[in-house]
Amino acid sequence: MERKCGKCKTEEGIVWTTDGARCEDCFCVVTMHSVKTILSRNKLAMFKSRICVSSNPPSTSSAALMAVLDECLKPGPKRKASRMSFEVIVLHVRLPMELFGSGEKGKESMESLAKLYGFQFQEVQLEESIVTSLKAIRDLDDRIDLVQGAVRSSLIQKTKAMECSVLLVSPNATDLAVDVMAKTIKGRGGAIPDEVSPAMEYASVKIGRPFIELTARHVTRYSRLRKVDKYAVSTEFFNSPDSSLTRIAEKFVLQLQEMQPSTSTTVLRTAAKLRKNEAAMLCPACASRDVLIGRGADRVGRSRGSEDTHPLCAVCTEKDMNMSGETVVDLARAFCRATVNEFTLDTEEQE
Amino acid sequence: MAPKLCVLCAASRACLRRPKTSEAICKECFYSAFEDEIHETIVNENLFKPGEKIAVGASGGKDSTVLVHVLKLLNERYEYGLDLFLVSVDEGIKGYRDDSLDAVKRNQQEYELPLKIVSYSELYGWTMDQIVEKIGKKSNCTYCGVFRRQALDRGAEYVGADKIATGHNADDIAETVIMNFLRGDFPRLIRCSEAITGDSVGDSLPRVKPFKYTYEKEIVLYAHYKSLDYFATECIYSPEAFRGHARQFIKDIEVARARSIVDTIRSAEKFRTDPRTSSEQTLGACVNCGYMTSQKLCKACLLKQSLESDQKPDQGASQTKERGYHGR
Repeated sequence: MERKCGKCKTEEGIVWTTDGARCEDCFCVVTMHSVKTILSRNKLAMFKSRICVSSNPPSTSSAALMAVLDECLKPGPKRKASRMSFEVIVLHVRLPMELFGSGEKGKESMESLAKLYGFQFQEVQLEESIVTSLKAIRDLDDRIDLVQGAVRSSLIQKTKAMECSVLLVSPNATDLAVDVMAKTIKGRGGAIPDEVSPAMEYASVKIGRPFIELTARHVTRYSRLRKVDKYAVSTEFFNSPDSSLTRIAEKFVLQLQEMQPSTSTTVLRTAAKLRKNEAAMLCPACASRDVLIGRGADRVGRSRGSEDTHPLCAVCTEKDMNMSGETVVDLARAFCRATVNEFTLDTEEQE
Repeated sequence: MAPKLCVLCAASRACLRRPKTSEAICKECFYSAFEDEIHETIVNENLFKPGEKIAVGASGGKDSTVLVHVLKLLNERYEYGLDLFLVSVDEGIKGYRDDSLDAVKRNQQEYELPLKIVSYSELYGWTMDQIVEKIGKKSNCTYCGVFRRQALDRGAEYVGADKIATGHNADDIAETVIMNFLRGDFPRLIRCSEAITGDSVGDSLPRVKPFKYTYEKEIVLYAHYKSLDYFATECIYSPEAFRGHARQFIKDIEVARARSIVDTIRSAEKFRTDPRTSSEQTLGACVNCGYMTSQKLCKACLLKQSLESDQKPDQGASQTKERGYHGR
């Protein structure tokens, strides 16, 4: 049965979305608008600026990101010139297979796609010492996390070297939901608030995630319609064995997504409500609970109107340790002073 | 090949590998490590105060049986000064609850603790068998969970308890964290990893979880080696529960890395909400039964109404502020 596109009402709908059927052009326009909204709301694509775009991993998402940026820069059907104007520099960190990379193949594929769109392409090399150290890590999950960290650091350094202040990365909503689950089960829940925001500042570079509202299915459909899926190269990471926590989390999310298509967006929406509590410090007695120091307090922990520079959490304050509260505070202060003195002595000795 | 010695005492022969740490240890060292970790949790989280009356939720299963045994032991060893009571809930599930209640009664005699049994039929006029017959197996865990919570509170109030101790272990808490993420239940996600939940100032009794960092496998091993008397069968209505997905996930990650269960709980402890946007609920009393609630009617009364009115239960969606995960 032929169904018309719900947007233009003229062409045949070929893609089914939550909003109904969409023809090819309208689907691509919807995707472009979603990306444009993220870019403009978070000031990621200022007029005549230079933007670095990561093509790691060389997946469908990375190829789709380049395609959608190309579309953003093209004039629309009713305008002579595009309202957006920025220069795109594609960065690629070449990783060996042991570090979940695609080697030369991935680099060539992304380079050819960048050239197709007239984007500048820059290869980023990891230092040999870092590659050797990463290869020596035996635990699979630790290696995955450290490789991701090394790639991010390298990309940020290159972005600064290219005199850009924005780096766009390609993870979509499904990738981020998997990342949230993986971070939770690895004990890195404190890092989640940064990883699920559309833009975050890191070492004076703004990292943007234009695909944060699009699922992997949506991005894959878009890349097929724009015919860039052939540029995607599979990496060792996706074939990693089930002993990897990240892979187990990915399988779990994808299985649930089959039953409930809103799984990724629900996880991201929940994670987006988490906040880094900056107005807090760790209790010096238990080192596990936060001590709120009030909105007006400075970061060294001085509460407004209080002389106590190292307040304890509620549980440690209440705890019956057969000591008076004052003695416990004195112990905590003594510990902090001793720690500071220890580091000061080391510095003085070095001098 | 020489028998492997315990890595802790290096004196006795190792007879098990600890699921949490994969250490090969002897029975006595396992008992010490298990009991000491629970004692550490009780002290670090400040779960009890001397002189308190603690109602232990006893279902006759492995978790609650081990909890009763360990709490009694630690109470005597470290002189917590606690008065322990057993509270058991009879959901009215034939072939499951009757047998587990027998186990609770045997535990009562063994540990010489007072026991109070509260039943769904007394409190609500419905047993779980009748509820499942009416609504099927799709949302029965919702009914049971809400009814059981209130029943436990009422039983604890009856014995004059100050706190309720439950046998929720590390696996349960990790599953709850994952489940609340998948359902988008943000308020529960923030508080599900706390060892003490509930407001001591309001009308509800605080609930404590001494097994917060204790693995389910270790509880089973402890019960096995100590030959504790418990009833080991899963609820006959539980296989359809949504929690089953989270449970399977937790089991998979435990195989890959044993400490990931505690890591999940540690992650949840780091979750914070924006204090400027979070809003506290104002608790009042249900106009029907007097139980604490933030709405006019408590959830149990709402569910009871839906059972009695022949209408499809909306599970209070129109009454509650936060919408749970309904897959839409």
